[in-house]
Amino acid sequence: MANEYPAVNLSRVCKNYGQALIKQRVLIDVELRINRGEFVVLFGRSGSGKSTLLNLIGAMDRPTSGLIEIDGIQISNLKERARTEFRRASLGFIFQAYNLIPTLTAFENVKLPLTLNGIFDETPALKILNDLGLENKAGSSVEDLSGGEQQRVAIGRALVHSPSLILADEPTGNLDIETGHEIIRLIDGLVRRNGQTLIMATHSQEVIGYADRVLTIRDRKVVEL
Amino acid sequence: MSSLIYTAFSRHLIKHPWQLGLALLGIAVGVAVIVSIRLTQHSAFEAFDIATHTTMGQASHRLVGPKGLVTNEQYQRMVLAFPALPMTPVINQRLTLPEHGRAIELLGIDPISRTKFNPGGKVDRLWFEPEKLISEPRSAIISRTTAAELGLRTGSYLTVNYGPKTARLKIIALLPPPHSPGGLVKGLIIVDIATAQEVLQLYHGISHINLLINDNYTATHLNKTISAAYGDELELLDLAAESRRIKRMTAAFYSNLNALSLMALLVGMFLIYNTETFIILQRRKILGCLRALGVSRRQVLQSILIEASCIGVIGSLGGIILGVFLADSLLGIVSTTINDLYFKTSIDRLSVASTTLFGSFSVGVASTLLAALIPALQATRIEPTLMTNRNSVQPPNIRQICIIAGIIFFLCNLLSWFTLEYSQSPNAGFVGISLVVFGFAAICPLAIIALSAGTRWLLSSQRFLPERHGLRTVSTAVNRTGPASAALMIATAASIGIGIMIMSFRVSVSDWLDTALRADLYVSGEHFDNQSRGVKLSPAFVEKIERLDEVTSTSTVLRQQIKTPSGNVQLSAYKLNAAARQGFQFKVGDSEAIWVQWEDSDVVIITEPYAHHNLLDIGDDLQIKTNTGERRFQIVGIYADYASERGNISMSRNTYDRHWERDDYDGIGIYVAPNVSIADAASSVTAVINANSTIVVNSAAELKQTSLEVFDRTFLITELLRAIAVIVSVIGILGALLAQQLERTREYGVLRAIGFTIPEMGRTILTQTFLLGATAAMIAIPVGILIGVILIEVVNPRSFGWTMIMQIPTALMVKSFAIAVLAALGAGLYPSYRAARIEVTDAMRYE
Repeated sequence: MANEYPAVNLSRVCKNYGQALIKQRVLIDVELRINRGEFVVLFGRSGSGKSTLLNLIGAMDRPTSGLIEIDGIQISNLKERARTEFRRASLGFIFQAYNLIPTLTAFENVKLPLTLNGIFDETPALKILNDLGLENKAGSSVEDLSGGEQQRVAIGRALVHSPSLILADEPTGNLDIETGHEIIRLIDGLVRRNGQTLIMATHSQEVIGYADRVLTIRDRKVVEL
Repeated sequence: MSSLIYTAFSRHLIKHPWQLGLALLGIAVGVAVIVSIRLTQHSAFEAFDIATHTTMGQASHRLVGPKGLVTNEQYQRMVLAFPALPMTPVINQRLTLPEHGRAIELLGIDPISRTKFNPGGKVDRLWFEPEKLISEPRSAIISRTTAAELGLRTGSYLTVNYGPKTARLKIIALLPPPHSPGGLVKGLIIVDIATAQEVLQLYHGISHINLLINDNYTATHLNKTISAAYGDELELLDLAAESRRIKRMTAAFYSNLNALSLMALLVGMFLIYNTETFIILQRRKILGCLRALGVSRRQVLQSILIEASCIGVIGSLGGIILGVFLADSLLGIVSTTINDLYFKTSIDRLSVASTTLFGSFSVGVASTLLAALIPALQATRIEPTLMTNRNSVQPPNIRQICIIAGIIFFLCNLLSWFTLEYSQSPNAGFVGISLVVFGFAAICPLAIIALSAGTRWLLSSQRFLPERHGLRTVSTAVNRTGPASAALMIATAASIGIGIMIMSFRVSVSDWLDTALRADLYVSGEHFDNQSRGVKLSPAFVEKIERLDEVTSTSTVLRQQIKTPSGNVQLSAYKLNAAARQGFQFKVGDSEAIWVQWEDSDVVIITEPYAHHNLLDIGDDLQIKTNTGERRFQIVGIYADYASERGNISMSRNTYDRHWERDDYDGIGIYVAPNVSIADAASSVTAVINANSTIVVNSAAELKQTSLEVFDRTFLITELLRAIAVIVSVIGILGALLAQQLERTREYGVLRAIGFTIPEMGRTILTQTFLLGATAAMIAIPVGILIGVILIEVVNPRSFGWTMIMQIPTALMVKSFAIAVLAALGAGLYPSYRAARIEVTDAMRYE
């Protein structure tokens, strides 16, 4: 039954910031459908609304109006607690600034989503560290890792609990070109192998080559590029 | 909740030991002050209980005579009348030790009859073999501690003086024996009753009889029988009730100290709030990340509060250890005050009560949780969108701060007004003070913003760029600098308020002494405590004094405990000359009308505390038990008197003589002839006294000086606690600035990179700290005055009944302002030093 639903479905989604006189309209009547297993790039300049859209799809923010469905679950009407539980179980996040917990080791960071979901088997965490080539860095403090290594730990953390949807916000923004490519290849390989859906916000042209579809935000609406 | 989150949080704290240290210090100091005050109180009471037990054994009641003497004949009649009633004679008197220049308390007991007071083999605290005292003449037992102080051991001899009488006593035992669970009986020498009579040459009587009321006699039955047999010659006192009464007297003294200790805790709570706020600010990214990963708001709140309770537990444990040491140091000061004002006790060692420790521990943990609650709730509002938000530090919402501060200020002051207006309890005064302080603390952030803007406007020249930058920074970080400034404000305001109260009290006492001490010299029997056990002055002695050429006139006083329906009270019967009458400051009543009725009518005047405690006013009648039966005396005046918290009643000696039959006196006020020096007059008076006993002569100046010394000793502990509170708040400011500096490391790096010199960096930071100190001081002055007003107009009249002349000393205001500003500037030195040493490249990379 679940396969009948698209991975992401947005209908007439609007997002405003501020109130009354100083209202800022960031997204207007966004329509978007992303299928399962798709790798979609959200391309555009800074301030175009990419992160806002990612926040809405990632259940981190609420739309001003419209409907958002992820795997057939309407998240725009979910209460705070339910949205939190939804994020915990169904989503994986990769951020530009890695946002690892600095006081945990690489292994502990990767293991965190498992423990939050009540899974105490450490095998998936060890396996993904191996897949990411970080088996020798498992016990290291993340602060001692290079930028590329830290982003690989972040990828591991996003994928370890096998979420159906991965959201990546400028994952190569803090990395050099070569490391950036390596990271994109890693993410692409892993999500395709697991059949997961990936939405990546970026302004990097190089990433476009990996995507199934490229979208952009023009006049506050999502359009195909 | 995932243990990984706790691991992450605890490692964060360990990586930031300064913050952890500040939070722990905040709670530890607050708890330490509470523990120290409670332990000193407990130790004082325990020492009092032990001393009481030593002198009374298991006695439940005491039979006393009106002049502090029970005759041998009265004692024998009692023994015959109540054969089944355990009773034992006691003599106690203070002696001097000429070889050591100090005094010691003599306790004469009957070891045999005393054994009846330990039924069922209960251990006697005295812990010795009684027959030794009887069999060996002039033998004595002394407390082990005192023996060590005097360099005595078993077999040594000790010379004691009682007035002109001298005796040598042989020490036959020390108590308690080593390793015994016996109590502490410091400053005590125990002898057989016969030896005591010999030393004091008091062959016809004893001080009192201790009784143990048992199943054979009830107190009511005994009272009736004694009253029928002896009339007013003997009075039965309930010792448990007396003990409770004496302890109750210290309640007001301790309530002041407890209020101060709670203030120290309040300052500590601000420190914790400050540290927690900063910790959460540092963890915003982590918390945002956790929220994005699916950690709920409740889990965030739970984890922060668990962390805070761990800090509370460790801080409170540290506070308990610190408090025990502090209590040990304060013991001497508290002991002196209790001895000066309330009852005689030798607090030999600190008594650590587990209930006190547990109570203080609970208060510490609860305060930490309370202080951490607001930052924890703020943490729950951190949104996961923070992860995609490029601006990591959001400026405080000034409008929100204004609204919240305004509401808190208004509500606290309204509640304070209600509390002070509608509750008559002295504690309501402290609640009112806390609310006022809290209300004004809430507007500290607003004051910082306003003062910062005003100063920036004044320093508009480009020459003041570092200062302007510092002012702007302190204003934008007001959510962290505000609490630190509030903590300093609270400590400074409390310091000013208490200072105003002490100063007003001192000036009032000094004025009262100047007015009351009209005579040039005062002669009195030596009073050791407020039980009137001093030597009485005979009419012949007074006559001798009056006949001296150096003396123009005298006034006299006789003091006696009397019975009124509201309990026992001290009555002073005065024979006053015209000058002495001017020594009474009437708060209520017309002095001219009072003196017209004074000698010939059955009228009394009462002190302010007595009027307050018994809800009396002029025109009311007092029913007093006299030798001629119950009589009513009309109250015609209420006068100022700071000598007794309980208060007393005064009447003319003529009135007294109409209802009682006494011919002796307790004191004489001597008015010296105009051409004679006071020193010469004192010599002549002393020459008369030498032939008598332990009578002392003091000049008015000496009495005033001694009284003010007692006053200053009483408030010494208050001064110490004030200092502790200020130190804690300075640490708070230091912590806030360090935190702010850490937060702005990258910004400082940028400033250095664009050309800010090291002195300019210093100017920036010191401007910030100056602003914080100045804001705290400016608010603290009106708040301090308000505290002073509440203490003088509400707390003191309700606790003691005393009114005072309000003093607002300019010097205190200037000093407090300077201390607050200097403290803040001092706290800015280290952050300035650190900021100056910032490596630009490192700072630019700082996240």
